[in-house]
Amino acid sequence: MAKGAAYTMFELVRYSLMTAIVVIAIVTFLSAYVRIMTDTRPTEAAIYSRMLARADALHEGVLLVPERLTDETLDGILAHPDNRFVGAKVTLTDSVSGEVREAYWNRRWYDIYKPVTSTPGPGSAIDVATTWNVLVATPQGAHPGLLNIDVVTPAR
Amino acid sequence: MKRGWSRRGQSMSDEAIWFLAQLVGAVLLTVLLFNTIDNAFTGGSLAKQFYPGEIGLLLTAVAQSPDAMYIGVPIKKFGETEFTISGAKNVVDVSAAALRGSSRFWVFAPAGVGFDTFSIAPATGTVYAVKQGNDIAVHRKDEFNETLLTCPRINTTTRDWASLQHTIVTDDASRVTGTLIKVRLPRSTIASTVPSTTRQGATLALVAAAGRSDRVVVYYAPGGAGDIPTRGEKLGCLIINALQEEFGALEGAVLPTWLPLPLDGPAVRIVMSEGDDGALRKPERVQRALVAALEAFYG
Repeated sequence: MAKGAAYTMFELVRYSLMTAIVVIAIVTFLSAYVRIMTDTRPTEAAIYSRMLARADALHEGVLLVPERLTDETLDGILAHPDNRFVGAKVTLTDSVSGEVREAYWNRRWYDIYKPVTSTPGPGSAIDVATTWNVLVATPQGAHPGLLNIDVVTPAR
Repeated sequence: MKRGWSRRGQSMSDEAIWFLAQLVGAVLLTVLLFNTIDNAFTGGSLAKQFYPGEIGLLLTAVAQSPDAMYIGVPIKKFGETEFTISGAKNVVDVSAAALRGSSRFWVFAPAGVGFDTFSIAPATGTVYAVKQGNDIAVHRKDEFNETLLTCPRINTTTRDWASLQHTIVTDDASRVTGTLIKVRLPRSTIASTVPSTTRQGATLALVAAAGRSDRVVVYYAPGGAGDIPTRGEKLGCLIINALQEEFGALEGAVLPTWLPLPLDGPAVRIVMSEGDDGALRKPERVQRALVAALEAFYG
């Protein structure tokens, strides 16, 4: 009896292992070859970044006017009555004078999402930073500058 | 009561039950697998997730455009699943009767710019977003021709219009400068070359680039004095409408933009989408549309 029971237990373990291997193989196959969801957030962030960087509201002709780089201006470019989906920090650096100016698009939610960008999984967020070369309008003339846009969007 | 099974028989029976359980499990797993794959490929759940983002970003891009424009989005049917696309108050919804719930995406627009409430069901074929002034409208293809762009009502009449009615088809870019109207198309589509007129001050070139990343572009320098941007906007608008009337609603984006050119002076630039390349490679029809637009502009 003891010998028979041991044989049955061995079979049980063997079959269980086989079942687990088959299920894992199927799940692996599905996740590798059948795409149910696509994460489009990096592309969306790149699009928003471009829209902010090239917005007419920030420019005078081809020159970026530093005084126009404010939270209010950015919120007016990409406006939404209840934006809880995406935010950005925009940093303008004058390459000649070294002067730095910052502004935020949807600052409230940027501040909420930014701390969790380093955490993977549900409840986290991603950040996509892009740097644009710009010409900055200054009293001394046009200066080369860098416009860094850090777009943050949560997992969904 | 004494049981009639032998130890060996009992062992076999356990084994048989276990085998049957395995068999049932395998069948269930296979059914689940095929069901999941079938749903992924024909159920449209991926598309239901994808289309709201596609259309939401598209409307956001349209809202940012400083000029009048339209963009068409081809919407496919997944198996038997047909989608309903609707929108209101900066939100786009995509749903399907065969799928539970709906997916939504948001639209960002500058202050004052917005779109009317719309609902398109079933959303098959091409759906168009049209921006004029601060209003964005979303249409199905068969409704689109009823909403040709409204062009600036300024006087651009030229008395000697009759002498301008020559359209030249050429693939020689060097010949574009300094001629009234030239239409440049890919080598494979060159239909004819008409002797050029030499009137200075206005140049029209239709460039259909062969590269995958290049789009058909119409450059136009209206020339003459006065409010050149408005003159260019009017002609760009008339060209768009004429192309639509000639070909029906075109598939892609048309964007009149004012820009400096390698041609002589400022010009209007209209970028057509890749989807329209086929239609626009019919030189006779393109010429007919351009001449109709110029006639409306100058006549």
